Amino acid sequence: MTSRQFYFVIIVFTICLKIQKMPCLLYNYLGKDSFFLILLFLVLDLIGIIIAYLFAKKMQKNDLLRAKSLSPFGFVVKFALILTTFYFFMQAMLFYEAIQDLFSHILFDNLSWTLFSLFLIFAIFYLASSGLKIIGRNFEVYFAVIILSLIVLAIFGSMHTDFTSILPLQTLFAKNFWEAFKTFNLWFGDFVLIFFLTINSKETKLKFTVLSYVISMLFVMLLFLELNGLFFDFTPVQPSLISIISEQALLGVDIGRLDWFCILISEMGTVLCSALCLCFATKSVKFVFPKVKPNIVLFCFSAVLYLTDVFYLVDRNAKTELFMNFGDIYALVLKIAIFVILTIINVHFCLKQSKKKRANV
Amino acid sequence: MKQYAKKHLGLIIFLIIVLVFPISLSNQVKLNMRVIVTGIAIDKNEDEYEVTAQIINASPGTESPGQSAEINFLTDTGETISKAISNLMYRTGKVSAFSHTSFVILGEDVLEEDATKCLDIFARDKIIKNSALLLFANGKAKDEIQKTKDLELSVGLGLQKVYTFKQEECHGLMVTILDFLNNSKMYGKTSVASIVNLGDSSIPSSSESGESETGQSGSGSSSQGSSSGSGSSSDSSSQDSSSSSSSQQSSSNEGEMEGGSSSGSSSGSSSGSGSGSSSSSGAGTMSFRSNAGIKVFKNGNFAFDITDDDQILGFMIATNKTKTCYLDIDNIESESFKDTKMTIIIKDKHVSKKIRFENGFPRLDLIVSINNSEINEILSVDIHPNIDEEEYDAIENAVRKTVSDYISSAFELSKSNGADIYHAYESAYKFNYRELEKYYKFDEDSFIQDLKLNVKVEIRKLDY
Repeated sequence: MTSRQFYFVIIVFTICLKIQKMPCLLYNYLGKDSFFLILLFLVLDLIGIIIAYLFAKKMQKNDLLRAKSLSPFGFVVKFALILTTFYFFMQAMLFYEAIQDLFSHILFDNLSWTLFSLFLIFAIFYLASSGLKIIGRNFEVYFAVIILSLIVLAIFGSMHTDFTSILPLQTLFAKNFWEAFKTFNLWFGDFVLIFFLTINSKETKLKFTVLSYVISMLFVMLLFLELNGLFFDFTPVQPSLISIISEQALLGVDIGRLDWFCILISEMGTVLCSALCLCFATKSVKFVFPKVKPNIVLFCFSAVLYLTDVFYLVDRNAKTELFMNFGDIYALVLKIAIFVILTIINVHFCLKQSKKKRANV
Repeated sequence: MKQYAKKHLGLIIFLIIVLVFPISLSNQVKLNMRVIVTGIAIDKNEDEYEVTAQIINASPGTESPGQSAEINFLTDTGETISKAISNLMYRTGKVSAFSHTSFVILGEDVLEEDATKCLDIFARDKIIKNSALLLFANGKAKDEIQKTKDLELSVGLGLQKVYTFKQEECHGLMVTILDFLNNSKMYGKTSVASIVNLGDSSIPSSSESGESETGQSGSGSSSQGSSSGSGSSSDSSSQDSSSSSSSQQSSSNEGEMEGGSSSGSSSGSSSGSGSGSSSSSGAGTMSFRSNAGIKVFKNGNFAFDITDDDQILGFMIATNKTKTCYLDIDNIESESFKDTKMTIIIKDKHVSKKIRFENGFPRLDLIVSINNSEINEILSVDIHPNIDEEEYDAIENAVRKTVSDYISSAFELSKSNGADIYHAYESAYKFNYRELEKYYKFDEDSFIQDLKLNVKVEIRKLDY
């Protein structure tokens, strides 16, 4: 992946993951102060991103990413990678569920989702099997239209938003942020992705990485403000942020909602991100079991994703159970585990290197 | 090329399958099988809701240029609004499209209960937009919606756009369902919406709501010949299978398609639609009554009407959603303009609100800045080609006093009914949180009772 593709992926991934149903659910926990959770995660994830990026660069530089180099840690690294596989698989499910929500329940409610989903899952499978290079190129090609669509939607949304809805700020600290932090952390913690992206990219720079992430999160915060400033207490019953934010701006337009073009183009980003997550899940399995053919693994993941979507995630309670009850703890544990393991690996090799230097001296 | 094809053979085969796959996979609905619902009227009959839908049928050959669509109406009842909508859509035998629903009218009988109850479906339903215009009818919403058939076609279908323009000119309010619901639940819990009042355009307009009855029966009496027999055969046969007929009057109208071209007769007495002519909808014989009034709700329950022209204008002027208005002044303190009536057009204004606490009591400062205005007409014995400075000051003072009086009058009416039409509580909550907590402990009712209004009118430009 080139550096440009790297930054584009960070931006699209960060935004597309957070502008689906999650903002509507978050309102139940924090109300008008949902934007503040974005700020909190921005700060925390930024620290995680910087550390993950530096670790990744160091491991890349010292060629620590080969299985041979990591063999002293053997089981621990493999275990972490298995966990990461499931983490990326859950993120792929998150994206896929968002697509299902939009296409199946809103846009084409007469459509047979079981059949339509087959084509979509095939597209995701094909894209994921093409490799990171092709996925990166897709992000590069579609980046401009996706971002332009998001900006247009944001402009539409801002036309009727009451931005003073975040006031008064005095109520900010009365909320239970920890509960929301715990429940929604599956949607955040993008440093895991950035670690994996960094080790697969060249010539990237930390400052641009940080800048890409910060701009994306600030944009997400703006969209959150718009959603809450438009719908207030009716935010939780809205289908998703992306599909509803621009509705109020097109009153009296005879030919219906022109903004649907922008919404559909933005959802292309969601499809790309789902494919990216499946690709990383497959790579993680490949690292742990080198003899397994990646396409077979990918096929299994795609099949499980499809079956889960069609049979399990059709129920809203099931989604809540999976993503908010199980997913929150899993994601939190995983991120801490990855962080700890990476720290141990890097400290170990630092010590090893300094020993070598002393021996040479 | 050959090598590429060999390499990607699987993908090419897949693409070919996708391209030739039968379109019926998605059950595409043809245009003539669609019924587009452009407006909904909701009434309450005892324990049931009566829903009337304004629908557009695509008639054969509609695709060709010059063909106009026809407005028709469908009515049905149900224990809930969803059920009623489902019942009446079932009858058409067609696929209904609600994504073009642009207005909802609630009847007077709905006001006996919490109005927000009826609107819950619109807040939740993913298809019917909650950006639709909300209107209230004096009387039955069904009667009002059926009058839209006799408006110009684009007006009858595009009430939302019409009200957007009307709002700018201080002739009505374009309140969406979402705005209404949000205001009902948040802060001062006061929400407002326009009353819709259509009448025969040959009868002079009046703001009295009673006129609407006359107007309605006036048009109704001319519509005896109007139809219900022209519905499609599926409708006439489905009449018998009506499961929700309620007692009403010409209850044979229930679930029937009304309007359409005239032929046959039926009870039609409540149809109120059309003049019985065979011309299609959009005859333009109906028009809007100006200043039909505003309904004010507190906690979703109906509180009071604002029907006085001055109070309506005062309320409209005090919001930034309106731009232009015509102001009549006759209290000019100047010898040359004694017994003179003058009309001022306010072309551009801006209203700012500020809440402050004075000795623990809330004060709302409303500053109306008239950025551009003009003397449009002077009804006087003399012609006044020039106005000197003294006269000019007198006119400005009269404008200030009139605007201030109108706004205050609307405010006092609202306050006496416990409502907060200027959203003072919201401003206090956002910008004076500490004082609000200290003096009122978030007790909205006491806040409104103690609230006093100061209106300041600044005139930046008054041309003559």
